[in-house]
Parts: sequence; structure tokens; C-alpha cells
Amino acid sequence: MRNYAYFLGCIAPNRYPGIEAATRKSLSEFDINLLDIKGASCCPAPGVFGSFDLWTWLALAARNIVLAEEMNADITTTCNGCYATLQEANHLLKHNVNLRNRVNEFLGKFGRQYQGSLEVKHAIELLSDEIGFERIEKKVTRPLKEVRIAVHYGCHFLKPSETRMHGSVERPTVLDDFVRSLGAKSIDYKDKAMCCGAGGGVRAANLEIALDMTAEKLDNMIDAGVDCLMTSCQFCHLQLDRGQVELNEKYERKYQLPVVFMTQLMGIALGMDARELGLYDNAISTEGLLKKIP
Amino acid sequence: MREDHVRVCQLVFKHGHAVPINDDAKATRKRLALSEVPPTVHQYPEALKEVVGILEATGFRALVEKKE
Repeated sequence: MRNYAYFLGCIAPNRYPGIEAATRKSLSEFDINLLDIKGASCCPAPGVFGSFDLWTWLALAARNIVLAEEMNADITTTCNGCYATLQEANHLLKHNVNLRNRVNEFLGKFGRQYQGSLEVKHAIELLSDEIGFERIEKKVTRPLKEVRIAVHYGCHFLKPSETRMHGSVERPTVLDDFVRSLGAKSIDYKDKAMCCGAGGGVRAANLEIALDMTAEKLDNMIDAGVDCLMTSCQFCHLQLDRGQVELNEKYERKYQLPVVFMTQLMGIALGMDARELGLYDNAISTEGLLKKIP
Repeated sequence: MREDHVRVCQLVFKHGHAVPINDDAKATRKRLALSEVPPTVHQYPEALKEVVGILEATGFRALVEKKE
């Protein structure tokens, strides 16, 4: 059994608990135990906090990292934004002694010290490297045959490539390979690497622009004839799921494309109950998609 | 800082989360056999005090409250 400190962030625990439940359940099938980081806060968000004040962003991120260091466990997360903040802060603090000393002055007031003793991994890395797609494929009991899926990578998992080091940022394949390991078809679509529209503080500041990008992304997926879209970030998930309702209400659109998180999809393929994975708790119904799976 | 971003920052001062828990999420968590309140600052008031203390120490409150 391998332990990871599960950094929840804001969206999964507070808006999409199904993502948290599905991640805990599906990873435990592969002997990965997700531990609570008691008292963790917002990461803080790279767009709003990182853009306005480096020290606040770094110090709060460092506190979250230190909580996991005190548990002797590497961190994993299911949010690209949280990953961006924690992975990048960890990288900066490990490599820049001036930043580390200053941040430790802030943390020292509360009896904490950043040590630089752990790694921050996106849950995608657990699926691809820790578990491996061959092992996942062997454990699939309900293959997602005939299901056509548009995968959405988001921005922060891959970029900036110098610190993320996950290979090509223009033509990544890890999520496509993951989907295939579950028996489904990964369908290419126009501008696949495009942002969901929410990041960088845009959703908070200008919903209209955020939704315009979301609509373009959804249209490209729908044009490719997919049955659903798969996310690997809870904030992108919110934007692409609730964003459809917002587009329908504000602009009289008729979007109904089911949005499924990667560990929810894996849970289905492993034979788990869709209700326990939170698949009936999305804004856009997943019922039609679930009926399609044999 | 735009008013919309100020609002997000104020949520972190108040709750420790930019998107705090609500009653719907609590009910869903319970139904999914998760703790009704997540094991974050939401469950640990002393942790929220520490978060706010860090935000004060870095001078973030002054930045958020600064009038443009």
C-alpha cells in the first residue's frame, strides 16, 4: 500500500464531491491510499493569488506542502490549478534559497518550516506511472466499448514545460492512452489543447469571455461526434459542466454533453456503481452516456 | 485589483477556500459516504486562523483593501 497526501483544493470537496469519492475509491483498487491533509486551505489559486502577490501565493502554498511533509507523504491532487501552485512553489522553494528563507520566516511565526522533502504529483501521474495503463487495462471488468470520448488536458498539467516535464505540450498523449486502457475511443478534435476558459482568474472576473471560450471548446468536441468529454482537472470540470448550463440559460444554447472526471470513468470501467462515483451529481446529465456502456 | 478578484480573496480570508462549502455539497458528501465537512480548514478552525495569520503577515490584506 502506497500512501499519498490528497490535496483536495476547493472545487472537488465543496462543489464536486463525486470527484473526491471516485478518486479515493478507484485508486484504492490499486493499493494507493489517499490520506487527508488536515487543515489544508485553498492552494492558493495561481490565477488570482499568484498574479497579485508572490509572497502570499508562495507562503500559503508552502504551508499546504509543509502539512504533507509533516505526514511524510508525497502530495497528489486532482486539480490542474492546485497542481500548478503546489508543484511550482515546491520547485521554486527547492531551488531558490532566498525564496525558501523568506517563506520560512512567514511560516516560522506559526511553528512550521518548509523542508523540501516531498514531490507533488498530479493524479494523472499516479495513473500513468505509479499504476500503469497495462495494469489498469487488466483490471477493467466493464470495458467502455463504443464510447467516443474527447479528452481535455487543460493548461497547468503540461505548462510551463520546463518545470512540469511531462513531454509534449502541443501533442500530449497520456490521457488518450488512459482512455484507451479503459476500452474507449479517444476522438481528436479541433484545438484540443485549448483552455476551458476558466483559468487565470478569467471566470471570476469576466464570465462572458470564459463562457465564449467554453462554447468554442464544446462546439469542437460536438463537431467531432463524441459521446462525452473527460476532464482531469476539477476546475476545468466545473467550467465545462456548469458552463453548459450557464450557456444554455444566458444565451439560449442547447448544450447537453456529459462531462466525466477521469477517476469516475475509471470507476465505471472497474465495475463500480455510478451513483457512488457521483455521476448523477453533475449539472449535465450523464444518464444517456451510462446507458450506452454495456 | 478588480472587484471580482477582491471578492475571491475575501472568501479565502473568511473561509480559507476560494470556493467554500455549501449545503448542497454537504448533502452530496454525506450521500457519497464522505465526511459531511471536508477535512480542510473547514473542519479545523485553528487552521483557518493560521491561514489568515499568513495572509496578514505577507501584507495581503492591505493589498486586497487598497482602493484603486
